[in-house]
Amino acid sequence: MSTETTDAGQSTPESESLLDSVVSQQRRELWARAWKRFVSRPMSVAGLLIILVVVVAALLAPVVAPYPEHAGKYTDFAAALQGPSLDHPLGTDHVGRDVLSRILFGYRLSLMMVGVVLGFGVPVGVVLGLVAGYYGGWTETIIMRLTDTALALPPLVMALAITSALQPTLWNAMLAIAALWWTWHTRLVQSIVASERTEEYVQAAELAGAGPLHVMFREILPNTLSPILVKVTLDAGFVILIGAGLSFIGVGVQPPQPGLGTMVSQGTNYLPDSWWFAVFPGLAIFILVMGFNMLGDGLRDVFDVEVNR
Amino acid sequence: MTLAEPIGDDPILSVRDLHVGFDSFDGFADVVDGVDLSVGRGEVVTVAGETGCGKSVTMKAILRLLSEPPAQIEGEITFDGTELRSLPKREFDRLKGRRMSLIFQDPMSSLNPTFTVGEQLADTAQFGGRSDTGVLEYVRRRYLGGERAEARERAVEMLREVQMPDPESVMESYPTQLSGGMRQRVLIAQALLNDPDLLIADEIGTALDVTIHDQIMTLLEDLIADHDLSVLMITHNLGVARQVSDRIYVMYGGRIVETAPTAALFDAPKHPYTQGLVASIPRLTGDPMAEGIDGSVPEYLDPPSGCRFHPRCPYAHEACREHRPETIPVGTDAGVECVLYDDRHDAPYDAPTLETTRAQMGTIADQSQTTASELGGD
Amino acid sequence: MSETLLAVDDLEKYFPVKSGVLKRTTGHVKAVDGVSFQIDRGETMALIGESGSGKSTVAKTIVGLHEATGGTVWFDGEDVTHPSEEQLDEMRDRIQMVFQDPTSSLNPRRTVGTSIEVPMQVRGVPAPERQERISELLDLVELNDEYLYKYPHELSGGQKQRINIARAISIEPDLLLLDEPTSALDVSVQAKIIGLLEDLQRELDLTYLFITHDLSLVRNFADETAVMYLGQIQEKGPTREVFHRPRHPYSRALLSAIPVTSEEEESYKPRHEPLEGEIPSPRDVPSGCRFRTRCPYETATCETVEPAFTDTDGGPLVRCHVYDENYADEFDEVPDVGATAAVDDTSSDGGSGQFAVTSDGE
Repeated sequence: MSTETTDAGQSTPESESLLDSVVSQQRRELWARAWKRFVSRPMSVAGLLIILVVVVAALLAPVVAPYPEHAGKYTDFAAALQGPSLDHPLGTDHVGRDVLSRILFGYRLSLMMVGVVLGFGVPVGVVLGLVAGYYGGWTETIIMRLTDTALALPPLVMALAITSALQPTLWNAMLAIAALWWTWHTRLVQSIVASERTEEYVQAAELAGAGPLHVMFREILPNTLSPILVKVTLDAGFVILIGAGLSFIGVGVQPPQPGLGTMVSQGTNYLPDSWWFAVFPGLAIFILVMGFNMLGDGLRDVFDVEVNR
Repeated sequence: MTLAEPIGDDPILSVRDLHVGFDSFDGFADVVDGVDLSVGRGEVVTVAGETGCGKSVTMKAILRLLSEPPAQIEGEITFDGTELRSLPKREFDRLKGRRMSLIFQDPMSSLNPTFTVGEQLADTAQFGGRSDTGVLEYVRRRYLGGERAEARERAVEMLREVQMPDPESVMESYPTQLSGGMRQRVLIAQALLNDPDLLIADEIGTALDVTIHDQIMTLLEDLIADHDLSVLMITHNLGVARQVSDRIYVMYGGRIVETAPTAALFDAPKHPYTQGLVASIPRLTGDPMAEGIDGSVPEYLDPPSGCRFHPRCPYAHEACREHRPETIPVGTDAGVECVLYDDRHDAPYDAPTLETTRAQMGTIADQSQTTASELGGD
Repeated sequence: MSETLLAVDDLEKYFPVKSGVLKRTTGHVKAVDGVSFQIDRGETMALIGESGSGKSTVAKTIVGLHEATGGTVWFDGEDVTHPSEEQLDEMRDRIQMVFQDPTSSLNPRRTVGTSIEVPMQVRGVPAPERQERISELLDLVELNDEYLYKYPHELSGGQKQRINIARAISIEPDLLLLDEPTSALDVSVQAKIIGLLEDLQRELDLTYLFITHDLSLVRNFADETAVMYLGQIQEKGPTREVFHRPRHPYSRALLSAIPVTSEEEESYKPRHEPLEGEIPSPRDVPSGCRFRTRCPYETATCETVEPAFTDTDGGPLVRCHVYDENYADEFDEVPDVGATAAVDDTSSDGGSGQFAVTSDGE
């Protein structure tokens, strides 16, 4: 082909910069539209705000917590089981530690758990799902049977088994849950890929000479991202609940570490008189899980519209 | 702006100044902008237009299939002397089931896959337009007495009339067991069961193969004649429109741009859009085909000012941008919404013919000739 | 003498039908059942058929998206029926395809620019060169750089199909398989796309296999036309011949069923003979002549003997027992004064109207 077309086309510097601005404006508009759609739903914005506030507070816990030293082994029996006051907005626990400070540090552990479980589970699940959906046949049969088997084990029971076989620590609990979490993503991704696989754009890429890696990761994966992202957001809430549940029955976060579930568990002993000890950590769990769920629902709406437009 | 409507004073369906808009996330979409149309008694009328011209929305507005909001509907729709827009829902439903029938585009999704064809047809025969039937009465008529058997008999008869092979066994089949052509026949039978006066058909048979489509159209023509039906048909295929209709409305950008009796419309289309459309259709004669119309259909969120076709029109000038053209009557039974035919304006062009427009658009040169000249040129 | 670019010889593609718990093969869908044709370089061949005729399967088998059950595919003199890795790479360089649905053939998460880029990226063309070439290609399909960062959902059907075409020609293939490239588009847009394809063919010396169900579209576009029914070609020959004097009852029925827009065109259609019934399932192909169940001319022989290709009167090849010298009158000729002249044109043209009778597999 001759270069005539480009010479005749828009290759002068001025027109190019003009074009660049048009293009970047187009991209901005695209994001602006998505953002606009997102913010048009108060629920999802509230969800996002909750998560942002919690994450920031948890990260800055050593700075923003009124009594950072209360996060660990600290006792001040004189101040035990005091109700909410200016000094202790959410009261103190049975050994005199500030509940608010311990909740903020508790959030750190919860979020870390989310990070570890999903950080391991999602990539593994997505890759397995891609491979199963793309290749089909025996590969798919083997991966999916394995997935089904793993799915049959409830994460809570698995965590109980592992922690009692090894040691009841947070790490072991996380390990147990992560070892099962990928299955959901494998199922999700495999079902999407199996249907995307037959789309003509995949055939077009194959005809263009693209190899399996390109087709899987560059063509199909981007089309599975929005449901994955929605699922990850909803998952986060789930993982927090399971972590809290494990801590509650004593196989997760171990005292004196400030696990939210551990705190609820300890606090129940002092109900109903010292209600703040159990209720506020419980509320803390509720708010964060709620935040993730609201954000997940909001994201789903944004993506649905975008794709079906 | 109102067109001197070609049909006498007593059309079975008439639509006056219909406006339909939708409130969407991006703003207000003005999808149908002042549509006038009418169907005379015993007349077969087609609304033809390309994707996104507003023809389906017009039909849905007539049949009250749009939920308001988001839709905003204004205008007057009259069926056999009854104003439909102000009619209570119950009465409208009765009218819709008994005197107006519709055939939808997709023969699969219009039939319920969980009931046999016979059940569905008998239900239509017994309860079509009777959505207000009480439970007791329903049970009585459905299960007691001979009414159900009669209804089934009528259904079989109707299937025979639409030339369904082996109607008795079709009655016992589920829709998924039938081929596309047979499903289309079932839908036609269903539409005609209650002997309606007006049939509204949306892209009938579009999804079918050429030879099956041909069978269905031939059948439909016979049925229209036998049942003395008035028909409002919607299609994107001008060839199909020509085959069955007496008169055609051409829609573009939410407006009727031209109407004329079928023969006149194809022999001498007047609106530049109609001309472009007719010229774009590949021809069996082997004559070169015109190169299509430049540009694309208007955005309804921000439609062009004046005549909505002006950005794509080869004859557009200042007046077209400024004002919506009036509908200029052509004889007693046709009209065109274009300034080129307006005596009061000094149009800078003579009104174009189909041939001038074809030449204007440029043609896709006949291949063998071009190849030959190319070879000579090298 | 023009050279043959693609030759398909007795191509078969059967899809197994599996049923039961053990997924045993209980039958075959004979999607393509003995198809032979060849296309000369720079020519356009149209493959016409209704749904279930196997026309798209032919294309997908040629490019290797399906594996052939039987027969041979020759591309530029090489047997590529069961291509080796290298052959496949070479084929991908030289044969490209444009799909029917402009929407599903573009990745919804890729911008126009990155979609067109894929074939070049895969072949290791350096980035700056790719950018330049993409602009060039957009120009070539009558779009411009403003489209680079748009997503498919922002484009109209016609624009999407232009992008698909740009992607297909980005690596300068020799053969383009066009699988109903305009059937999802409106007529005014369809005309534009056909015009574009004709321009590109001339500029880039492309060879087309054009698959469609729309006969009138083919009339001007294709040099040769083959009419498929239930996995088999029933009639093939120079387009003008097939249109002016369709010999096979099926070709005649197809042609007579087209809704046209002028009286003049009506006179170009054969006598209207509506077909009986519907297309049988390709799982259960009728014995003898597979068209006989719908044919108005069926005879006793049709049921038992499968007709072979014959060129009864030196024109197109026809698979029909009924059509012969004696019956020729039954098949009224389209009353067209220009027809004979047109036919003479093609035959004196030399070369372009020729095809090998030897490729007949029976």
